[in-house]
Amino acid sequence: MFVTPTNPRFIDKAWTRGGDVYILDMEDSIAPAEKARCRTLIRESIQKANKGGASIYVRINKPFVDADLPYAVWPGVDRIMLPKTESAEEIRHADEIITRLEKERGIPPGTIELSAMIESTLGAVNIYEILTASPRKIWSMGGGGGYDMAVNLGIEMFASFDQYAFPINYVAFAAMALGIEATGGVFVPNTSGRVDQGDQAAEQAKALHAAGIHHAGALHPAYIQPLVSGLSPTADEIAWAKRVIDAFDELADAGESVGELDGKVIDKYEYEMAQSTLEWAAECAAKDRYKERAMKKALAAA
Amino acid sequence: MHTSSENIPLIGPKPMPKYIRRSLFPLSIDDPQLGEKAFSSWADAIILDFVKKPGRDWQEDLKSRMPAAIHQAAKGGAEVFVRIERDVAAAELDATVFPGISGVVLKGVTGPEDIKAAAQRLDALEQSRGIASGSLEIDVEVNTAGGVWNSLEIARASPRIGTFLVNEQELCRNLGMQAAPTLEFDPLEYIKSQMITVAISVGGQALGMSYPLSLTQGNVGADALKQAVRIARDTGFKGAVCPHAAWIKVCNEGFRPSAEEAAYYVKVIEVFAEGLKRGMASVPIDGKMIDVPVDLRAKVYLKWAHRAQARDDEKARAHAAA
Amino acid sequence: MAEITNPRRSWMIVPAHDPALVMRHEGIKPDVVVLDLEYSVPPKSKEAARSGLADLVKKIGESQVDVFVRVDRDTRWADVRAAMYRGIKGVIFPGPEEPAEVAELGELIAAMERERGVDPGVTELVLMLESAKGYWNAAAIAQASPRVTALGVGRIDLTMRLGPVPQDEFRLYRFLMTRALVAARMLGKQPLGALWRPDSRGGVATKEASAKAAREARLMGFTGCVCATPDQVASVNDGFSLA
Repeated sequence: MFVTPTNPRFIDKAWTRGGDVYILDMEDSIAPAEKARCRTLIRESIQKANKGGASIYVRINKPFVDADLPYAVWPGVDRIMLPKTESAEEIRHADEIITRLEKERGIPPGTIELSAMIESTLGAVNIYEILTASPRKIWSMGGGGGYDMAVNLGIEMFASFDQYAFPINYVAFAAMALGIEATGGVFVPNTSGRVDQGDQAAEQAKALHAAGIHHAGALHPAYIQPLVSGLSPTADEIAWAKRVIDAFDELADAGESVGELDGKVIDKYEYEMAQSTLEWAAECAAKDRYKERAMKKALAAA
Repeated sequence: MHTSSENIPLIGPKPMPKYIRRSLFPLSIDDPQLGEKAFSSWADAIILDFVKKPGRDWQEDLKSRMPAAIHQAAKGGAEVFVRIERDVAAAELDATVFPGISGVVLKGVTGPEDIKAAAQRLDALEQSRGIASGSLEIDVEVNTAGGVWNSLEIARASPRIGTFLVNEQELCRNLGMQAAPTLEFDPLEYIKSQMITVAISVGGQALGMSYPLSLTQGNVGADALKQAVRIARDTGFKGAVCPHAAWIKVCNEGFRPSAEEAAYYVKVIEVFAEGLKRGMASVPIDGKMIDVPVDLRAKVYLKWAHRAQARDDEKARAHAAA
Repeated sequence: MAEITNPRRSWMIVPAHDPALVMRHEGIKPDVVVLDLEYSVPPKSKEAARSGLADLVKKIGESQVDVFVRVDRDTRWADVRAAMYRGIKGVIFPGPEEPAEVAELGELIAAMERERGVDPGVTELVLMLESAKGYWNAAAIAQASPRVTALGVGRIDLTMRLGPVPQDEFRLYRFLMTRALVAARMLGKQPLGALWRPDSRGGVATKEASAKAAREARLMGFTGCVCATPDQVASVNDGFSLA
């Protein structure tokens, strides 16, 4: 979830909302006249926002990469988000600066990850080069749905059909071809244009989870709980995955490759899905435990 | 180094859209009523088609007739293009490129080499025929699988590239699709979105129509057409080739922000500016938050509306003067 | 134009280790019988499947149907050796990722043609794309050997773990179908595939679902698809026969 460092009330309370990730925003939620002041608030915001065990990302400004990064790269920051990424060169440039700052500030070089946010057609068509531009871990985000992409395409937003069919799918596809997990990529109609409705979040989470996507962003706290619970595997899914793995192990022992469980086909594909479910469940559980401990500690200190 | 600049740079300095070309009307140079039809069409652009006279001197025949045809086609203030087949491009270009055209529409393109070859030919023709160097555009009429697969290389092959026109009917045939709208989805959905994305990525634009009208190309009523144009616009198309004169008015009106939308953008810009003065980065209008990106969009789209209006005024003047 | 005279609409998978199941094709009449060395053959039966192929091919050769052999990507070299006999039209290679893999297999087929007295160059290669990497390299892969006659959409819901989306489709499915179609048509290869929906699994579907998946694929420009079970054949033949 995006948070505004220049809003002290919001920043102080953000950790209590239970999000997995808080994005300290230096970009679109910060007025031009406030950008300089915002830089000075990032470092202290990290410790405020991660009290509940959330990861911390920082979204910098594309036109001010060189000026923003020195204020954004600190211990405690997991990822830098580069808005409106359009070329491999931009990735390389940011990577160079981040590496230097990591070294200066006692962060093992390469630790901090990058998000290439695709918000234009040029970014979309250059996605493969962007994602292969640097050995640093790069996440792929977007390809549609935001204001910038909409303006680039010259469309009105919130139509009842998927207006980003190619860019979103092409970006997700390129990421997949490179073994990188992409976020988003499922069209859930939002004709109200609102970004603060929890039931819309639940719809979105359901659709993403069914499609196999694990991560989603939000602009409003009302989205946090629905997304966290909707994107985690359920107890039923975990139990089923365990049964599938056991059943397939038995098949393999017998030299078979296909079997049946409760009327459903069990084969190597279901086995891999089941393994993936358990891996994801373990990740979610670890994150939940981490957040729980951090929350306890923070509440005790408060 | 700007630290608190008021001006957040746009993504790329290119205008959106690159051209005001909402309606493209194909006419034949053999049509005895070419001038009247072009004049009364109110199209933003005329695409001139020709039939090559059988025999060896088809080039001389075309050369002798093109200048007058171009002049006729331009009567209502439309831009004029000539449509060329890739396979015989060099010969056709020589025979048809004359002052007065904005560029050529190239069909049958399968790769960037086609564009480079045409661009070279245009270099020479501009020089020999007194046309401003580099001014002639190449517009790609996408009707082959290769044109789709190689679209990015094609778009980047020359700075002359202006628009991608998606010829849905011919593309369907080339891809072995049934060009009948019995599917609940558009079989060309991803291809059209790709053409739009690629064209805009190089600062150009794409033209086409929404499904199923893109395949039926029928002379449907104004309401149905308006809806179809709306969907085409909201996919990112900036205009369409009009198989019927009746399409033109709806395309001219539909492929641009409406008067209502323009008025809303004016309001957004005012309200946001007010908010900025009071130190707010985000201001509500009717429950919707207006922040930097929303304000930016309003400015870009308002400019688009003004340019569209200016084009209409220009055509009106051309009509009045005739 | 894009029409073909010898339609291969239904490609029926039969497990090569079970001759009885294989011979059922005579009652079912698919356009192509695919002797499978992959999914439908359990590991314990693979050797028997390979060694039985020569006889099986001879036996089927008496009917008019086209015969292909689907190799297992992981054991494709041994599988090709076992498959190359007079009587097969070609080899199906599931999950190619790089052009070099296809070129190499084409060369192996050439060597086996010489060894087994099969006319040089007649053995076809059919490529079924089943990974994002393969799709990325689709055009290069399809051009990597002159033997390639068809390029298809594999069981991507399974191999690429594409979950369902609210529009009753698999995520990325029609995008990938379009990509395979464009590459195939650009290169003059037959595009294979069907619009399987989330109620189907790996292309295994009811008769109704198969008919719809095939019909929609035909409208999209495809010419045939794999039938994972015999029940699908008649529906798929119908679906791809739309005039």
